[in-house]
Amino acid sequence: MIKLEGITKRYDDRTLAVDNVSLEIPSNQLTVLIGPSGCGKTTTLKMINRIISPTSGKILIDGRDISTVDAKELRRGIGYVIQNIGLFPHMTVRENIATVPRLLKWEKSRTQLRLDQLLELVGLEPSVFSDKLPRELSGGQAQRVGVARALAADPPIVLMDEPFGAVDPLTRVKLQDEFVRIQKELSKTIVFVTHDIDEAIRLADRIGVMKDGKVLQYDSAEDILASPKNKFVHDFMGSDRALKRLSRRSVNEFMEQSKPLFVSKGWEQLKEVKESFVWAVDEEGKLIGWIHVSDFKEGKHLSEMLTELSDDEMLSAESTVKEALSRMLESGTMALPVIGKEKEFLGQISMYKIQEITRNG
Amino acid sequence: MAKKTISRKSWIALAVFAGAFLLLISSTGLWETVLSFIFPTTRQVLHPRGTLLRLVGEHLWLVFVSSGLATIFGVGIGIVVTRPFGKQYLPLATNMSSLGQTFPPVAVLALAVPALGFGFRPTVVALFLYGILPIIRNTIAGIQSVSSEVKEAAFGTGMSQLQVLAKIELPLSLRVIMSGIRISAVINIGTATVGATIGAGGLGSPIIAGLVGENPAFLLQGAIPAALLAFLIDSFLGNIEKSLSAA
Repeated sequence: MIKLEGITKRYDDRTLAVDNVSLEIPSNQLTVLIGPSGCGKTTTLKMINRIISPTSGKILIDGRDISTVDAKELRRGIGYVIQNIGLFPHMTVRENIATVPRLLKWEKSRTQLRLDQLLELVGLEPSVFSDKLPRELSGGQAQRVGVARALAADPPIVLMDEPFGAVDPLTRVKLQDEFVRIQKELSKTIVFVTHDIDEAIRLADRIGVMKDGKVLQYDSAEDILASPKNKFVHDFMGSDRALKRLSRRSVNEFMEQSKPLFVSKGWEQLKEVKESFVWAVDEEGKLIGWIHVSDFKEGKHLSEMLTELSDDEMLSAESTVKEALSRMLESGTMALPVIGKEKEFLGQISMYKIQEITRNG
Repeated sequence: MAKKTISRKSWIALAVFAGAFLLLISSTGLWETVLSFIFPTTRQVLHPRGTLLRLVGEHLWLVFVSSGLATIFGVGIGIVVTRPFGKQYLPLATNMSSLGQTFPPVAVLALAVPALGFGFRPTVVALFLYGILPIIRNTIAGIQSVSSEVKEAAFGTGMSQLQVLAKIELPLSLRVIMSGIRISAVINIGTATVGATIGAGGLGSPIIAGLVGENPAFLLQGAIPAALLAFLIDSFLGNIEKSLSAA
């Protein structure tokens, strides 16, 4: 746990960057500090690895006052990813990532093993990327290397200062998704600074909203969305808070089971259907479309009644409920099927269910 | 790969050129024949102070000692004034290095003589003072050009001040520093000829003798090798500079 006790930072020109901030940042969770520029979020972050030293107050990591620890020692145990990545331009990808292991004097074979592991973790093929220089990488690739470098020595804590700020929106979403996966796997204690509210809601376990050097509200992401403490937090979260909350929920939490129809088999299956329609699968269980029960006429083969579905009308189990809602509105349906990796039918999510979620919170 | 072949080619070209230069300055007979042909009225066409080879040797030694010292001190000063503890001297160093360049080298030489007498030593001092300035300037510029993000990232990984200097700042500014050394050395090759006025020898002696005795043959014996030498050293250090940036 990282504990900030009454941290204040006043710069030499008397500007007050951080004003008496106390926070308890829980271990193995991702805590986002968010706020408009100049709110002190980056300054707060940089005090945790002593890039900036506080004017007053104390920071404790697992009960130990960090001002009593050697700064170099402290930093080697904290991964650090900064705004414009800061890869060392004269070093290859491999050398960049190996920085901290080298400082810690790891054996070569151990470092090598770790390098390949890390590159694979961040989705870069080791044989292709190891020997590239930073200038040969795209923005997204450089960002991945930055993350790999921070994770190199497997530090329990990682500080990230707008790590995905410099890439295009499409790449950003992709990186966020992968980052969510990585964090699920590693569960590090992460402090993450951003000004992008969607990013915060996507990634955060806890969110601290900052303004003018103060923390206005510090709560779980759900609580902040459900009950913003004051007008600033309320406005900052945006008027679409209900939608944003849906973006934190994944479809498989609210999926309803239903029995699909095998198109290749006989029409007798329709007798068991209680709804007005039913999802249809082929002999391998892969979803292909749906069938209106009322379309049924004696002697007609099931495949003749089939309405085929496009990929846009199928959801993966990892999709967010917000995405599901958006797809429903787009296709004008009240329910959408959920499929697995092999297109196998898993269940469905309905508008009715989504309303239930938003009503109950 | 392409970069490597290019640099190998330029090294070979340089070696050929250096060989030709050596051959030229050791062919005393050739100089005598050609110069007697150009200046048929001149009685003595070869400078009597020593062979051309010896003069070039003296000249190179002057430049080597002064530029070597200038490099050691110049880079050292550049590093010190960009450290946190030396920051207060940064404006001083920057101003000095731009001001120093405006001094004519002869003036520096004239000032050195009363303190150090005649000959090799005052010339080295004058060349050192004149040559150190571009090195200081480029070292400072090179180190300052390393982006603050890269440095912050380096400190963030837990490097010490010294490690950031050795692993990040110096490698990243090496090319700019090297180019300062090259400029300084080339300037010194030209300036070192002035040293002959206070008896430091080198390629300046035939030039000065030629000017004093109105003997254009002497003048050419000093000026041509000095110009070729400057070109040679410039390409040599230029090649090193290029191979550094390719790495």
